[in-house]
Amino acid sequence: MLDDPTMDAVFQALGNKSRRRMLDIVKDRPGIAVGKLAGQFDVSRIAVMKHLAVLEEANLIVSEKDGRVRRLYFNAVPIQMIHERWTTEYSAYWAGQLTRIKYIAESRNRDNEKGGEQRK
Amino acid sequence: MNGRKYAEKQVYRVLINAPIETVWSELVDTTRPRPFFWNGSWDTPELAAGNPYRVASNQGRAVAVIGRILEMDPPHRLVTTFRLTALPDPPSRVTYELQEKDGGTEFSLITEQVLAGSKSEKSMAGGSRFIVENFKAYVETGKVTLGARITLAMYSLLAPLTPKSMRAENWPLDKAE
Repeated sequence: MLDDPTMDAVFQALGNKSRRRMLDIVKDRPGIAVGKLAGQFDVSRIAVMKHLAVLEEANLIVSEKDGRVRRLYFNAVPIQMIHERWTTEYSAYWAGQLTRIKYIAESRNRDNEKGGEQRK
Repeated sequence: MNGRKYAEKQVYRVLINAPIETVWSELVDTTRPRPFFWNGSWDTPELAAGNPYRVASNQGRAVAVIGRILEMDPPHRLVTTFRLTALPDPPSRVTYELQEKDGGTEFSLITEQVLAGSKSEKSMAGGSRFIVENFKAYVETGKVTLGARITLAMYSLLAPLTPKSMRAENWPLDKAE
């Protein structure tokens, strides 16, 4: 569902070690301020801002103004969409898994009816 | 930053290639099941601030979500409280935001006040990705993704196994918090 230019932007953004590390940090600390993030890197603040611009362009990071600071959030959606693009061919596998869940749920349901309330 | 109790807010965002009015009207259509909400329908006297709502499925027999409309600002913003009926966690807050951008509409789903470390936190993270991705697919193509269609087909098979905690009779609208 991502068009090619958008997907190019995502892969370009991910194709850099520093930017991947930035994503790791922002994912672990949603709402981290730009200054705090920059503090974790040895490179200049300008270099960090350039990396951030690439990540924002790819929609992997979303930023919001909060008073005088800019806060950063990881946006999982582009990666979810890449996942969806190449995993649907395996959907038969998942359909199989879900059918199994149905059988397990049904047999548990029967057990519960037999066993009364003590099983939960 | 908030205290320890709640997880930090999360933002799920996508660009939808459609005019903002179209995107908004699909989001707030109360007349038909919404495939991007797992075929649930908005069930509310009216989508207006102050009103309660439910997300009902399986011909109104099951309720997956119950809450209250906090803000309604067409076509830009809808803020709700959001409680998953299948889980014991308190209500959190879900905001839907639309912005015109690059000839399309930037759609954001924002989750806040989700109990840190709770099952709701995990469920809402996965669920939000599903909603945002499939909302885009649905608005642009009239269909949700193939993976989602398979999931929905399986869910409809599993409908008879709906847990008691989700049955509609246990969730009248006046239970909305």
